[in-house]
Amino acid sequence: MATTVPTLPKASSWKLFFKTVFARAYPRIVGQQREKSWMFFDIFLPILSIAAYVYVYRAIGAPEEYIGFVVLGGAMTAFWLNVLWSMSSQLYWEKEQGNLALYIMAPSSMMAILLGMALGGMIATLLRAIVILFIGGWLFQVRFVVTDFWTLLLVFFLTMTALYGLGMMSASLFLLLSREAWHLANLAQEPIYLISGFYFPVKNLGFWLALSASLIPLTMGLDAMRQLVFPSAAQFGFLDVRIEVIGLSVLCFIFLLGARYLLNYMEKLSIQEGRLTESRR
Amino acid sequence: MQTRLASFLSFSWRSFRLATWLGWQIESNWADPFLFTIYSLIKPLSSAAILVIMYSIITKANFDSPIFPYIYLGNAFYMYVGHVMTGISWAVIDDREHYKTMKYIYTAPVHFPSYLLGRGVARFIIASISVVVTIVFGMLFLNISIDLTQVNWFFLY
Repeated sequence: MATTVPTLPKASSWKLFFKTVFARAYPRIVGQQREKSWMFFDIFLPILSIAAYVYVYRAIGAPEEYIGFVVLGGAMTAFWLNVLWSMSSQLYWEKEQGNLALYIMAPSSMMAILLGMALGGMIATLLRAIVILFIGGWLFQVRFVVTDFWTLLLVFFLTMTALYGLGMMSASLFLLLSREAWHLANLAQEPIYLISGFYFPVKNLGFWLALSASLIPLTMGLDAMRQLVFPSAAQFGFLDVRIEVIGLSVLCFIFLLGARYLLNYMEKLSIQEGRLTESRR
Repeated sequence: MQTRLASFLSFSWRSFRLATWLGWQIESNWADPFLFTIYSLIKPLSSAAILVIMYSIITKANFDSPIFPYIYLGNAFYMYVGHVMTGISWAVIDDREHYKTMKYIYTAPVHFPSYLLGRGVARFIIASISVVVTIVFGMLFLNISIDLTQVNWFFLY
């Protein structure tokens, strides 16, 4: 008696790409909600850090706008930490845990896997950032006055695209690292908070330093958002919002293209050399 | 009785000493020495620089005010809180979740509390380097005057 083996329809091309994006984004979003205590600490600890900077500003008699700058900057740190620990170093962790080989062997695009990681991380972090923003705003009596909602939305969208594009690009670079990936990710915290102006207007660093720091999308993104959310912040702004929108668009293009190029390069290198770590290890 | 105490102390000391060595290897030698040096210097200085810039924007760089050393030193010594608190607790997570060696260490003839304390020492050393670097930077470049002869070292420790 002949038996018929049921065959599942195979996804291909764009359908496969989007299914992979969804499949990789799903555990990110669900996983974030599984451990309730983590959610609490993910919100509570940044608020403690924000509170420390707010009280320093209050102790030295800073204008109220600065309190708002700190709250907004503090909320945006969630995105930087997510990009750093869950994007840039993610492929390195996957390599450590043995999942990377499965990703590479899977009949799907690595770009789709990275995009899924980015989308899932972005949505999960957005929820946390909104809560931090509301609690911080309520605790420290910050008045947010949105002057142009659609531009604010555009700036946020461009900042996130460029930022997660940077994360996707650096994920390939982190693959080259061995154990010091942890140190490197850790090193990119406080120095980036400093040069990107998370807790003060980046304009104060001087034009050239602020311009160099603008390679990190959060620098221009945060500066533009501050100008759009606090009307009096225009005087503290580094560049005009329109210029920052153009700058962020350019960064989106460069980082997404760079992510694709580096991923292909790493794949080629690993095939040629038969390894994925630097030569001295 | 004395022999048992001496044996216990020797046992604990050996566990502590070896765990300290292991902790230091994990924290430092497993990374590129150049990267580790940069990491140990840049991170605390950046953290201090955020406060310095915040302060200088608002006060127009009035570093002579007594509130500045107060904020600066508070920030410098706060590094101990993070490093020491995470030092021991992270050792448990690292050994259990990452290296999967916790059960072997627990069942090995080591004094476990001394082992954990030893693992935390590496981070304490890194924190101490960061604190010293931050304070020296403040004394050299930000006019923070600390008279070492006036410090009450006994109460400080």
